[in-house]
Amino acid sequence: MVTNDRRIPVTVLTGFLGSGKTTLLNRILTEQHGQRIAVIENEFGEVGIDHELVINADEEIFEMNNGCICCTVRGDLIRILENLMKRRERFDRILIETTGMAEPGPVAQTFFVDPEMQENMRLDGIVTIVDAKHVEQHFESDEVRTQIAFADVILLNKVDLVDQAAQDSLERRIQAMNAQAQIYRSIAADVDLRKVLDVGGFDLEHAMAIDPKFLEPEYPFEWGGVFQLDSGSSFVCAAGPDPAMGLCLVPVAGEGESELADGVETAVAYFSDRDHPLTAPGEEVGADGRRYDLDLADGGSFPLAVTSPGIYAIFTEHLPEEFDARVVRADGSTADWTSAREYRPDHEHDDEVASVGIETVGDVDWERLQAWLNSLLMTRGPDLYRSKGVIAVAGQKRRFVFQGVHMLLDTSLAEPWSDDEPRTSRLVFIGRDLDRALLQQGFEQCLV
Amino acid sequence: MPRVSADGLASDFGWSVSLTDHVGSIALSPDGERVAAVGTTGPIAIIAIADGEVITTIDAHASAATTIAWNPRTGFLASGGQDGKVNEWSAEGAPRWSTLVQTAWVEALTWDRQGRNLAAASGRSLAMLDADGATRWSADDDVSTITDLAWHPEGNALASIAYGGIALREATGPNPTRRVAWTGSGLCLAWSPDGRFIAAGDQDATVYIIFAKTGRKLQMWGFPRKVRELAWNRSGRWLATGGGDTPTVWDTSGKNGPEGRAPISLEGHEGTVRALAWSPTDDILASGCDDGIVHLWSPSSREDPVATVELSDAITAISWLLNGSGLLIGDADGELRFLDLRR
Repeated sequence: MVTNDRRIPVTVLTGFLGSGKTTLLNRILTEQHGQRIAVIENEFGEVGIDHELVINADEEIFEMNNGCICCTVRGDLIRILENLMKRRERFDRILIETTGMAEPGPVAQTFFVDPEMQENMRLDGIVTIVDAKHVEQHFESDEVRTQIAFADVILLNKVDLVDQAAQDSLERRIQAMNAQAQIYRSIAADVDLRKVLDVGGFDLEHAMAIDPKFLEPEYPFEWGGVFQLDSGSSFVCAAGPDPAMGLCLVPVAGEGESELADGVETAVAYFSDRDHPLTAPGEEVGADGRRYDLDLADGGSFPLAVTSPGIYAIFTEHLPEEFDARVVRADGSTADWTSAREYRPDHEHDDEVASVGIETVGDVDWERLQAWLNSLLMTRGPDLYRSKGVIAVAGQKRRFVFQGVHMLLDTSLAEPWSDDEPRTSRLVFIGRDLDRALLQQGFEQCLV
Repeated sequence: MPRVSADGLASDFGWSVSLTDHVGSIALSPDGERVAAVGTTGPIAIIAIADGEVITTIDAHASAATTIAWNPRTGFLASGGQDGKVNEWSAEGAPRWSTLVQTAWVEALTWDRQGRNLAAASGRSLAMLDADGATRWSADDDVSTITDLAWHPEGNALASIAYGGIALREATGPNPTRRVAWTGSGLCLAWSPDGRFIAAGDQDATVYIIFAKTGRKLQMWGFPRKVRELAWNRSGRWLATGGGDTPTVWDTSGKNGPEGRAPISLEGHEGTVRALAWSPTDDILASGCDDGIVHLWSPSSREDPVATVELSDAITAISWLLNGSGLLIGDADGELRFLDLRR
């Protein structure tokens, strides 16, 4: 990143005990990058290497009154970082390792509320390391979800211990919680260090690079594929992670991706069918505008009742590989899809931590925007882990950008909009129990 | 208004000594003839005031020394370090004793007036040592790191400050006799020379003035930054506070102290004030700023500085000589300068 910012970048490493935090830390410290790095660690004695400066911190969280907003900060960090700033030898980077159970909020907020911290250091990014093998057991814990929600970079570590399908499903689940984080897979925390350092996660300029992928719409299904079906074909699957799965069959005009895309709207309508009794193995599934919920307690075979042979799209609530699902012809051979794709599902495992992206063309009224953001942060601040936005404000030539942690917001005016681009506002909220519709509606009320 | 520039300083106005880095604290020996100074990472230097000769340099702690305090009775120097130890040295730098308080940094160290009790704070622990370094008692019940300590001028009571407020104790035992609580993280303490008030600076950019007898507290806010600079004048009437670019002086005379009275704002600095010190002989206040400027003020008579010293690096510590005839000024680059005001 090209920057004139001479403040010392700070990287925060979070992750459960055993996720590979220390391995990554050691990698960062031993790799030849020519940087002088000061490490502040919480779990004493873990870094066992000969290194210039490792300071043990005794995590001390306290509430701070910052104007009208209360937040928690790390008092021990303020003292340690102040001391580091006084040293004659300057460090190129500071790494803060948090305890496995720590919520990254207070660490991040420490850099927002103390002017001296802000003048001398810049929070570069929060890197969360996830143990691909064991994280499923920890997803229920608030700490893991919060660490994922806060992250700018997520390292899906120890991927050698799980198969490809599990890696993919884990990545999708993490992405649903935090859609703006960069996710990398690693073995023994072996990752290009440029991907975890100099992330620019808290740069206001960087806030503009909101990843458009999660501004995509969500669907009631996760997968769709086009098949050439004869009469006598069946949908066969094994018992899977859920006891039932929604499915619908849609006739389409051709075998390609565009025909599949044409079938999506119909499928969404089919899936909205609320009257869908459980379909037991052996019972037929028709292309009749209904949603079928397959009873998969023991797996089974479901005849596909197509009146005439032809091309059909099958849309499934979950990924076929999660249920070992396939389409079997009358002669017992497996029918392959001709085109298929995954969709961003709206159900995504019912995690209460999620990302909400808003993208709207058109100018926003400054007063209304301020009122809305203020009230949002005051009322929902504790549940909002990260927020970012690039906004087209009426009468303002430059982009208004903001980014925040809980209730604290950093704002500025960035590059001007050019004449040949649409003034499109983009916002991202990552938090707990967020109401997408309410956020969308709240923002739209600010439109001129 | 007299102005002094850095160039002429060394030759015309005293002496200058280079320490390893950022001068953290400086302390005058009880006889006023030596000054001890400690840098952020470096050793402790003991320097003769008369000519700036470095008498000794002490590698006082395995990691850095953090704080120093002269025993007013014996003239020995106690030091606290990042190693959690309190050590004592002769004025020539010979080791006397070493006591481990806790594993956390020793943030504060202070002798009572009689030089019998040395209070030391390390992490959440407070220890009371005797003049030989033996632990009289210790208290581990604070909720948060103790950031500063202050004795009552008579030495019969000790105040400590941490997150959540102040605890007061007798010199004789670990149980607090009073707690003055507020929501906020206390950073520094100063007990007025007349014993009436305890001033506390807070991370939340506020100052508290506590009536020592009753525990009643007044809160002052509106500071641009956290407040780490507090100084009482010799009589205990005036309290100077930092917390930004404008030193503020509070008149605490009268039954209600500073309550309802507008403070005097000393405007003239163009950076954050990092050090405040009153002359021990006159009501002259010295303020040092991170832009390298030291102003001298006579707050009760004039709004503008009565003198200005221009140095190049951020001022980090200021101490007056006992007779008020000169100033010791430490900076962020590790220079310790003596400024002789009689010349």
